[in-house]
Amino acid sequence: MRVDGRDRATIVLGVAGIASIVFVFFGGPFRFVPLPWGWMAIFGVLVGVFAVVAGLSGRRWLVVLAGAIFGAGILVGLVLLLTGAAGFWKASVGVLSLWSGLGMGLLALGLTPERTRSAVDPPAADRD
Amino acid sequence: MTEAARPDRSSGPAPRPTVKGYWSLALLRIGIGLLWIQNANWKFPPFAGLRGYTGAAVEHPVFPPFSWLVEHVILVNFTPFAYGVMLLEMALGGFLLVGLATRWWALLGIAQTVAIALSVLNVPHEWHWSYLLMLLAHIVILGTAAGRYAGLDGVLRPSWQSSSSRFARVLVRAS
Repeated sequence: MRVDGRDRATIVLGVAGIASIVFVFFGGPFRFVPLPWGWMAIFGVLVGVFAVVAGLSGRRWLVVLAGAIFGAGILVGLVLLLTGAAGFWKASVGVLSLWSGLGMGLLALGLTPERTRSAVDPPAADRD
Repeated sequence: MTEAARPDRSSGPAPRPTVKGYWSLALLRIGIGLLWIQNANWKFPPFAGLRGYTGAAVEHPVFPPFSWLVEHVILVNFTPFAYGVMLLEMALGGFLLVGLATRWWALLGIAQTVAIALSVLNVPHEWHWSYLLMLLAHIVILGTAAGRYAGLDGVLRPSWQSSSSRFARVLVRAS
């Protein structure tokens, strides 16, 4: 199995989604991602696993799908925030923030075309 | 300043940092991303906490024109402003954490840090250095393009550079 830089980045984002569940058990000032136990914790792990599988498979459309699912999760979370849902369905702005990075990152990894110029070409835009 | 101490203004590719420098910049960017993620969390409807901190710009003025703006423009249109702050800080945390379009988000982080500082700097018991440190951290992230170190900018920038599309050009500038 050949894993390139994008696949590795996809796997890292997926692992981050899975690892976020540790913040369910954290308290105090080092609870960087305020993740309540409930749908958000489970959803993050499931989509994280999906992203890891997408990265291992090397299929870009799966990476895009994983990013889109995180995006859908953000929309659902915002609706739950507005409706004041509590308990298992309680949404956290901090987790939506994390998902915005993971989701947009996966979409960028899946949608950016492969480079077209030779690797030895000078980076014309690297002058800023 | 001696010749050797001057910054390199040549137009060639930037020199690669050492391994320690690479991971230090990545750690700084990820840490600042987590800062925004954690602090976006208490900004949700009906935004009672955010209203209190925003009003501090009027109760404890730092820069009178900014206090006037808060009193006469922001507080009277508070709900759309509050949603804007929530969405901005959500995005700041996520994008800085993964290092995507990092220079753009660092610039917005600088603007948001200045706005926060102008609101609460003179509130009793505030530690003013916390806002100065936030500002300095964002300046370092912007100046070093820290998303290129263990971030998605580093992975995707070569593809954006090789593309002729306008969106790719924007992303090259933003990364």
